[in-house]
Amino acid sequence: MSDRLKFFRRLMSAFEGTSNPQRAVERGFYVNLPNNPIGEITGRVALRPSSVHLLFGGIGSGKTTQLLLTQQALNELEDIKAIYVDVSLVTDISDLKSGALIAIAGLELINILGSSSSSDLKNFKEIIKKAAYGYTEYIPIDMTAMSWSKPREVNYKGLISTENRENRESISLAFSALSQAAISTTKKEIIFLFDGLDRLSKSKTFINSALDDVIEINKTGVGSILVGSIVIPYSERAYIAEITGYSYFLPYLDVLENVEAKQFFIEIFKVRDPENFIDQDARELLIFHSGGVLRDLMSLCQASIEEAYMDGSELITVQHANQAILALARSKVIGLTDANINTLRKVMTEKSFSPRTSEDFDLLLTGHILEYRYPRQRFVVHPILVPLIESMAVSLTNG
Amino acid sequence: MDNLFSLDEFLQRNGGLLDSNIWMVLVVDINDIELTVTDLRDTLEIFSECSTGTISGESGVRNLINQIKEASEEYFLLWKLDDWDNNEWKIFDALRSRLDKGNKGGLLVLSEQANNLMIHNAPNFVSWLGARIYYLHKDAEILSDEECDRRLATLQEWTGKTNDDVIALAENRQLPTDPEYGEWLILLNRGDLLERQK
Amino acid sequence: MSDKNNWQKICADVQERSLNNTYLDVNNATSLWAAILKCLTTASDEKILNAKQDEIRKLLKKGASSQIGKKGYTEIMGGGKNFNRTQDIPHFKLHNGCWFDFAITIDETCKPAQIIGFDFEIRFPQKEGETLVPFLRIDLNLPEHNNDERNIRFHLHPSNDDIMIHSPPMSPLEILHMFLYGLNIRDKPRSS
Repeated sequence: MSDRLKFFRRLMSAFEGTSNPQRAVERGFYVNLPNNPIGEITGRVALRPSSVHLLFGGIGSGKTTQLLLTQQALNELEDIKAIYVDVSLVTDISDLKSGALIAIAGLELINILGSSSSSDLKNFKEIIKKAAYGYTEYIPIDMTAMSWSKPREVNYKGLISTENRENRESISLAFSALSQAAISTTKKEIIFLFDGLDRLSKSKTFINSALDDVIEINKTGVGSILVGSIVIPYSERAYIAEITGYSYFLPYLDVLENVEAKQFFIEIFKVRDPENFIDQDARELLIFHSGGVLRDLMSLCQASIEEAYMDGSELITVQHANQAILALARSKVIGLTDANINTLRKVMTEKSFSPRTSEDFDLLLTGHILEYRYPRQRFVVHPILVPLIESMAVSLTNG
Repeated sequence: MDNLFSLDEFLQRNGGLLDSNIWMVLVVDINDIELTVTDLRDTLEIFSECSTGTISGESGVRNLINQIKEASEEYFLLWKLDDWDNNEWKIFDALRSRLDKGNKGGLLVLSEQANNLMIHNAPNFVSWLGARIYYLHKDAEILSDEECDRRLATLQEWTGKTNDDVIALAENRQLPTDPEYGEWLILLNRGDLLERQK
Repeated sequence: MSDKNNWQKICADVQERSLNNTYLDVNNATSLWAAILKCLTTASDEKILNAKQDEIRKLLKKGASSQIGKKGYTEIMGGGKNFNRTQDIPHFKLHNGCWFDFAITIDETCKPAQIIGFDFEIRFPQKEGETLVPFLRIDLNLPEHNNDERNIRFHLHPSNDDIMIHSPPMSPLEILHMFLYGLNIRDKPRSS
């Protein structure tokens, strides 16, 4: 491998924005997100550990990173034990059943308790494990039947696998007992951070399974922080308002109107590219066209790096940034319907947006329409799409 | 078409730059998918210098995720996702954390239709892709007709022979052994005549 | 036996040793093409090869058989066909002033596929007043049914189209590496 290729690979990996934020934190790439909720959540949990917190945000807004950092901050408090779980790694969240989160949390409590030997606890542990993993039961056949046969084997699938047969009440009871034992063993209040649930495509599943479970967990004195998709605060506004808990919204960053947001992005470049291989003008262009979406900034940077490599260049310049912007814009435009384009055009001209229909929510979810909250709430069409939408609008009117 | 790349450009762009969890999509005409996947299997590892596993989605998304979990390779080529419906893509999106094995990510080879379904049903995964949705410009690395004619003209000028002369020589097992004559027959799509020289 | 017959026998032995020790098996033409593409791309990155990535793609081509989609005979071509050694035909340029092109014929009807013929020619920078282009050319002729007449199937031309000597046992990829990395051109000619 040439030195040049090695250099570009290193630069490319410095702008990875895809998966494990833990890695970014470990590499020293984390920059403090302006208006982040960590302080607020930590303060509230310190006062009342057994509280429920809901963190909503768009794709690529930094939810997982904030959750991990919240876990770190909470674990620095003397009397709190914060446990992070990516639910999608443990169970099939596309098929999330009621009780699954209780079973998952229960398994974590079993880990904490280790091999402590109270026989009551042993029973409760069994109940949780069966609920989580399923079990096989042998039902004896009536011996007076004509032909003698082996006991009938019945397999019960667990919540972590799929269907649930367990008695919901007994699971809750088991969980309650285990949580009390864990709290007195660790001498700490316990709080769970459930990640991955923002990917639930049906908001009803979020409400009926995840949120219900978390409320159940809460009754036993254990707190939870739950991540949800950006659509839920709109589509389930009434339900969310009713529950006793706190909601936080992680907006995209308004780089045009929020100086802190702009500064944040400038810092990101400083830590990930300290030697300025991406030149100043290119950085400005990339920041603007990211729309304040962290993940999109990472994608744009990687695409620019790729263009510079292919070009034989040693630096990443405005020319490469422009090619990257075009490439990302083209990718984002694939699949937009005429109705979508009309909606986007409307938001561009009227400079406002009230999401009502499922099509509206989809555009919010996919980041074609961005919501900013600081310094003021406003909705914009992702800046990278604007020129393309404008040119489509022209061709539509021209027939 | 935009984001359109030939296989060689695709390899130069992406083959060498993989050092983290990078995912990309290559959109290919549905009739060319099998050939493209064969070509990629022959060429990707040469560029990426890491082991590449080919994973089929024909038994559904959960099976695919399982295969990835069990696989020991560092980089994955996913294909046969063209029969997936909206729901399969939603599940894929929900379970995308399981694609990250701390290695080098992977490549999906999709038809245009499957690409559209993915975009509509897997927005989280699509945001991982960023700008990396590429359309394959098939056969761009193959000699164009014009280039072919130019080469044939040069060969004719150098030898003083015509195309028919060379074919006749080959048919009679009298083809000269200079390597240029092998090329000549291939350019005329008469590579089969090389069999006769054996 | 006359010494000429002796030489014939020596030729036959040398050819056999040479061909037996040269890697002419490949997975298939596409793999070889990719390996060559990678080699050229790396050389471009290292500033050994003048060509940028897109220029490499314009020069390196596959031919014919693969278009039919069935396995037969394939050609890999690097640069245009250049019998007169003129710089106006597309070719690969090195930073040291040398320039080259090549073509390889592959038989994919067998497994593994076999390289059955190739020509690789590199030209050196011309000295002041020199009219002829100095070059090094390595040829593997096509196999012949009557046992490689004159036993010189695999040979090199040392700057002379008429003189042929036995080639070292190098495969196309190895010859390519030699062209890129193995020929040190001095700024000043060695004093005689």
